[in-house]
Amino acid sequence: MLRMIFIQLWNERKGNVLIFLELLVVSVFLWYMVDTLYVNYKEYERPLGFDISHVYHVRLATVPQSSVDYDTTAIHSHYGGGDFLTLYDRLAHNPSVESVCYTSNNHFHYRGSNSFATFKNDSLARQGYLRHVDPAYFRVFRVKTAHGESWEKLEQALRDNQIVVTGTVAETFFGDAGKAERKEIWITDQGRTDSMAYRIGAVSEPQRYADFSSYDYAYYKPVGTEEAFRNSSAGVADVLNLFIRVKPAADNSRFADDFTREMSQQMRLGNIYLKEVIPMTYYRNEFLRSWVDNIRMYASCILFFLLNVFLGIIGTFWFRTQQRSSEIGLRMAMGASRRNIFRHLFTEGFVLLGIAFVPAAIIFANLAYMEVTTQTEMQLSIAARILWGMGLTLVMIGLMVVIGMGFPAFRAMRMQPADTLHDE
Amino acid sequence: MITLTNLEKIYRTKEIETVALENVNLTVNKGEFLSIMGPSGCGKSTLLNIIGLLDSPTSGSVEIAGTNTVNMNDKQLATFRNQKLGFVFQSFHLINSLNVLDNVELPLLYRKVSAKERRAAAEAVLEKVGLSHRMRHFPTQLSGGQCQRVAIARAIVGNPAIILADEPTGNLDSKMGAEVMELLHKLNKEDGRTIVMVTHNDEQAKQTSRTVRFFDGRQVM
Repeated sequence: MLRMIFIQLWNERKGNVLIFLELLVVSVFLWYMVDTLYVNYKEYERPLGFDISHVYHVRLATVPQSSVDYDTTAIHSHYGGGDFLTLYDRLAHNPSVESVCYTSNNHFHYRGSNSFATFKNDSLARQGYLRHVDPAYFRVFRVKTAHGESWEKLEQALRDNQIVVTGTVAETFFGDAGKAERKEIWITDQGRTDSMAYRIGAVSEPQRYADFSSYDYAYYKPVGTEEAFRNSSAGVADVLNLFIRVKPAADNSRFADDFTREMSQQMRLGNIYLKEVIPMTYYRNEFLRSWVDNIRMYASCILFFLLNVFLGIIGTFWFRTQQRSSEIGLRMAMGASRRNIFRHLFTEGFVLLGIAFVPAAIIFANLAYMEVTTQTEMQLSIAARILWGMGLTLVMIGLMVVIGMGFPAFRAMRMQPADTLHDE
Repeated sequence: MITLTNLEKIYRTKEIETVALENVNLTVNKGEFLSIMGPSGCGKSTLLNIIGLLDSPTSGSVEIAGTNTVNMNDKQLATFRNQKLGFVFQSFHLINSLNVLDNVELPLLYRKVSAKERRAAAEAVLEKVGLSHRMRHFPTQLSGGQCQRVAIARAIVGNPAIILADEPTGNLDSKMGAEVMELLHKLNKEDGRTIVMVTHNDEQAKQTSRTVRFFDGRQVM
């Protein structure tokens, strides 16, 4: 039967060329889309290297001198750093709060605001990030060491005034996280022309910037000593970012509002006040919006292609079935049951798809070879990537073939052979 | 071999009811070559379709080879058609995208027969109808007579006991028509196949063992 279907399709190749081309072109495009989504999904699936669940950004601000609320008698008007640290302590003592940390200048997770650095050795240079944090950062954001241990070792490294590099830096420059510890690394910070040698105190797990990003090069440096802060102006509240990790039992959808209301009195000190409390998930959603839009666009394209296949197939097979009504009647006269007819038409559709899919696979393999497909630094198995892409594409087009052919095939099945043969 | 009892076929639409066959009682014996004659629209082809299980009667029974076919389901009908009946149509009904050999193999596709056996059987019947030299040709490359011989080969490839021919020479010139009739007579006499043929040609009907005539859906003699 299959051989006969092949023969018939080949002999009717002029009539089948359009549907063949449609299946071929759509298969390639669909595969490209599916592959892109697959790569994105694999990126998304990897550990981020930090955890923002139950983490909030506590935004402080300073009352401007021009404001009527500006307190000229405030004790720490000129030593705002001291006020900041007092507020830090108040947050830490709140029963809902599990841990507190602050970072300097840039609020880097999901914010697109960064300080850059170049990591170097004799033959290698890599662009990455510099992150000023206080030791508790690793505790608040649940950052583990490269060997999966909890954050204490990372905290200790910063307390010892050493730096913490991410696993990606350690692996690239030292081959292994274990080998990087206690070693020196040359780094040129943004805005500087000279490189400095830093001693690596600990290596964190590899970290990504956001859910769809690759693992990046980054190092963590102590934000500054307590003494240095005490003498800073009140404006320090504008350049430091406070983060709290809330106890899971205390966290809920109203937490930010309730906490702001509850703490606004306690968090007013000198000319520093609590501006707002924002969940990190808010930043995440905002940052990922363009990615999600992109994914939506790909998904829409996939739907469009599928609709295209569906309409093409239903139109073509409708026409074919009508044209071949006498052939269907003849087959029934020769001994085909209605089920045989239904199966015959479906097999024909799938054989056509199979024939179109082989060149589609070759085209796609060439696109992949020419690196036209979505690129990633992930070590994805080529076989798995191709199998997933091919499998999902086949399943989706196959589904459209089934739906698109279902109605014409069902109609063909219901034909009265006497009527179709009589028409001739 | 074939027994039709009180057969009736009525086509109904919302507005009109057309009686195609009325109280037909007919027996065709094994090995008989029966011709059915009558003017256009008298119900000849309808009768042939009902005997061929391509259409169902409104009432009455159709017994073929000792089996009452009226209550058969689709699968049983298909199997019965495949094993007991061979069809020859006026317009040949060959599949133009298949060559002669593949066209002849068609009934065997619906049996559990290996490709090798199918091929051998198709080659044998094509040899029998004198078309072994045209096996790889497509229907569009053959004359009308050759097409009808291919159709006859297809009808007998599954070795059915009964051949139903609906105006088999209707689209052929007299010479080719004579060749086809000769072939049908050969199948009747040498192989003992029962043949029921619808025809408008008196000469051809006279050559058969019996002729029944229809007029307005009724058997008149």
